[in-house]
Parts: sequence; structure tokens; C-alpha cells
Amino acid sequence: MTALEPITLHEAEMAVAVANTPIFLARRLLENAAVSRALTLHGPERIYAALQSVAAQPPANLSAVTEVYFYLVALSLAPDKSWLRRSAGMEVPHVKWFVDIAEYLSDTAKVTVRKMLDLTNEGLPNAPTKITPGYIGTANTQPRLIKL
Amino acid sequence: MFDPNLAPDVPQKLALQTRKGGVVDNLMVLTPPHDGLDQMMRDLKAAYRNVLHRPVGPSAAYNCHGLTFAARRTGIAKPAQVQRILSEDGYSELPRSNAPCAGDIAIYREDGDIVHSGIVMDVQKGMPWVLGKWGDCHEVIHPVLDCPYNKAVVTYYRLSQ
Repeated sequence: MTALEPITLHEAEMAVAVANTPIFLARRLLENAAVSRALTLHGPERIYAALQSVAAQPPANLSAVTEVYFYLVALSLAPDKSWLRRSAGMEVPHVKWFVDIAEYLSDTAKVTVRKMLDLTNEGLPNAPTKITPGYIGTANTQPRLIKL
Repeated sequence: MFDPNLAPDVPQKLALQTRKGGVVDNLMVLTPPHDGLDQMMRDLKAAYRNVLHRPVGPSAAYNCHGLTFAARRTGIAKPAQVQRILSEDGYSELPRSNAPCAGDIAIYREDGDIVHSGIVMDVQKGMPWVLGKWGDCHEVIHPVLDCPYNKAVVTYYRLSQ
């Protein structure tokens, strides 16, 4: 029985059981289709409420601790990153990697920045005299040129 | 540092240092493992049939890195701490042309981050068999990539002195 139904936790529970590091666990949960499906099905508001509910008490079993990580990672997939920021600020002392995983998710949260630049394309052989390249990047990386 | 008078549900750190004196961050959780881990261990035993599942665990007192580098006394969860041990204890990475042998350390990395480690126990027909602890579950001796960490790139390290 999970705070939100229907959610399939088994694959996530296995990831929690065999994880030796928070990074490994975060990556397995990010790959877990059930996590993204939960976000699509329930939306961030309900998932945040579920996270608050399960994080409020010490987890009684593996499923309960898995739920905490599951909802946290699901919220990191929401386009609105304020859900992750609010979640990361929760006090969850009974779940040993909550802070580590919240930090990892915050660090890797990709905010796509799209900026169109109008440049004169000088010096490149076989190129039109004027092109409009697109730059795409993230908050953590240098923008890179994409081919148009 | 470790205080034997604290309640067992209080996670504690051991005094753990590298050969150069660097303090290694660690966490020893002595509370009984979560209910449900026994079922996970049964599932792992069913999924990995051609390995040796040691009759130990589950335990959150130590993890794979605690087994490899701290004699099963504590858990080391941060990849940077493991890297620090490798560097400050003087481990050398084996070139790809050198086969590992029993006693070497296997380090599993995903995108450069250390996610697992184990001790090479044997090499059979060129295949290293590694002793590792699988999270809070049990210890397993297995062909190097016949494990839940098989998305990783494995490199081997040797301590010569």
C-alpha cells in the first residue's frame, strides 16, 4: 500500500536494496519508468503531498523508505523546478540519503536555455553568408552549437 | 566519533583515516535492517544463480566500500571518499594489459562516479570473481559483471606496498 495508488515500487525497492551510494540510487530511479509514469499520472502537487506524508515519520519498512526516494525523484522530473527545491528543503532525518539525493538532483536538474542569435557567418567555407544558429545548453554546461 | 553509549538507532561515524591521515567520511547504521530486505535478497538469489551468495546479511552497518576498505566496520557512501582512499593509500590502477589477480580491488564507475567496489577473489579462465556487498543486502562472490552494477566500467587497483 503506497500513499499514491497505483504505483509499482518493486524495481525501485530493488534499487534501494542494492544501492551502495546515493548517486547509484538516484540514477536507477531516474531511469525507472514507474517514476516518470507516477508524475504523469498524479502530477507534482499530489506527489509532493505524498512525499510530505511519508517523510513525516520514520519508515517502517523498505517500501516506506523507497516511497520517499521515489517521490523525491519524481518531483525532480517536473518541469517546474520549484517542486524539487521545496522537497529538498524538507527535514527527513530518518532517510539516510535524502539530502544527498536531493543535492544530486538539484545539481543535475537541467534547465534548458534556448537563445537564438543572429550572426554573420564569416570565415566558414561553403556556408551561406548569413545563418541563424541555435544555441542550446543547460544551467551547468557551456552552451553548444547545434546544427541547423 | 563512535560513542558506544548512544542508542543503536543513532547513526554514527568511526574514526577512519587514510594512510596519509585524511579523514574518511563514513556512516555506520546499527539499527535492524528494514523489513522487506529479506524478500529482496531472495529475489537476488533467484535472479543471480551462477554466483556464490554468502549466508550473511542483511545489514546497514557496512556497504561494499566498507567491506573493501574498512573491514566491514562501517559504510562509505560518497564516491569522493573512495577516490580519496585509492589516492592516499597509494593504490595503482592496473593497465588494461595487466590481468588482475586475487587481492586486487575492483572499482565500478558510472559516468566517472564510483558506484561499487569489491575484492578480487579469483580469476577463472580470465574472468575475475569479485567479493562484494550488494547494498544493505548480503555479500556475493560473482563474475565481475554478473551483478546489479553491470552498467559500470570496471577498473582494477593494486596496493603494492
